[in-house]
Amino acid sequence: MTLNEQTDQELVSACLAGNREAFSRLVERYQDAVYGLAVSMTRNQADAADMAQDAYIRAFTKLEQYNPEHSFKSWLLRICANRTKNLFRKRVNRRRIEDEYHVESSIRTEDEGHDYHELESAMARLPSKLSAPLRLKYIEGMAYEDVATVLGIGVSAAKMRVLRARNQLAEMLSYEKA
Amino acid sequence: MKKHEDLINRLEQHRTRAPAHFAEQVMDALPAWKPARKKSWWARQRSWIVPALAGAAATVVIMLGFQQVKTVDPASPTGSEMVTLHFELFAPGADQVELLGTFNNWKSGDIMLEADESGQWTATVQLPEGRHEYVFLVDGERWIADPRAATFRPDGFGRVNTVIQVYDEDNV
Repeated sequence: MTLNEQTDQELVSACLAGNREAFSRLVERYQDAVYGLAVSMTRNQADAADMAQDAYIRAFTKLEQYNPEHSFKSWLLRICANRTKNLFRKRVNRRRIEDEYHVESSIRTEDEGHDYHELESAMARLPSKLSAPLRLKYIEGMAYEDVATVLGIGVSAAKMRVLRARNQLAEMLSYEKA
Repeated sequence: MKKHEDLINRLEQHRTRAPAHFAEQVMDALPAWKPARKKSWWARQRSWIVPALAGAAATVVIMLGFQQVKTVDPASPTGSEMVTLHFELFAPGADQVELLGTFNNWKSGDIMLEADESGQWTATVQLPEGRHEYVFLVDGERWIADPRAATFRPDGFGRVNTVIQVYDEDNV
């Protein structure tokens, strides 16, 4: 069985046994999810990359604390959320949303068309407390309970924020409200 | 409604891609040392051990929660008895968790919880009988009501506090 075919728990076990390549697979497996959450929370690509990297380093150094009975992805995203909240909010001079966010090329690939950037740009204009739960719910496909756990909020708050985010996003994208 | 379904479908198909070479940069930034494996960890994951330990832990928590300490609080004007309570919060990845409440004037740095390897933070505190409100403060910035509690109260600042009633068994 190759590393790519192994479960998260098996990769963690291999990593704890000293196989750094196993952790590399975990990074690749969830890099979009972690980076995406950091983008939603920081609303800045450079900060998001820093926060996502910080989350992975933190996870690596705390890997022994991971309980394999729970989702590695949720554990990792929760670390990212905690680290981003704690570190990013301490900055006195927070950067505003980058106006040029949707035209920056660092995450653009050839197959990304107008729809991709329209949605990215609209989500970047949502408040971070709405964008993050929306992303976890729909893009990451998480249950409301997991969204709440990752973000350290109640389940009802998670549902409320996702609903508000969806309504605001629909309005931005000229969709009719339900 | 159809439009909202379209939006949800669009979100579900969407990915925000990490920057190019992100994984390589992460791997380059990792500490050189490897995490030391605790050899017995997986071996201990026998199917019967986990629920047994969970049951035992729950029993201990309940017993600690209702353990009576027959001492009189000298600081209490009513001379009420002190009751020992056990507080827990699961917060993996946190650097620090503290307990703030009406019993310590919401003073930061007064009651610090200790973490075990799984990310479970705990503290055992003696409180006088009566009604108390409290909240956990994670890493000095995140206010979290006790997820195990049943009663909450808005704190007036957009958050909620946990509310508990503490009574010595003899006085219930």
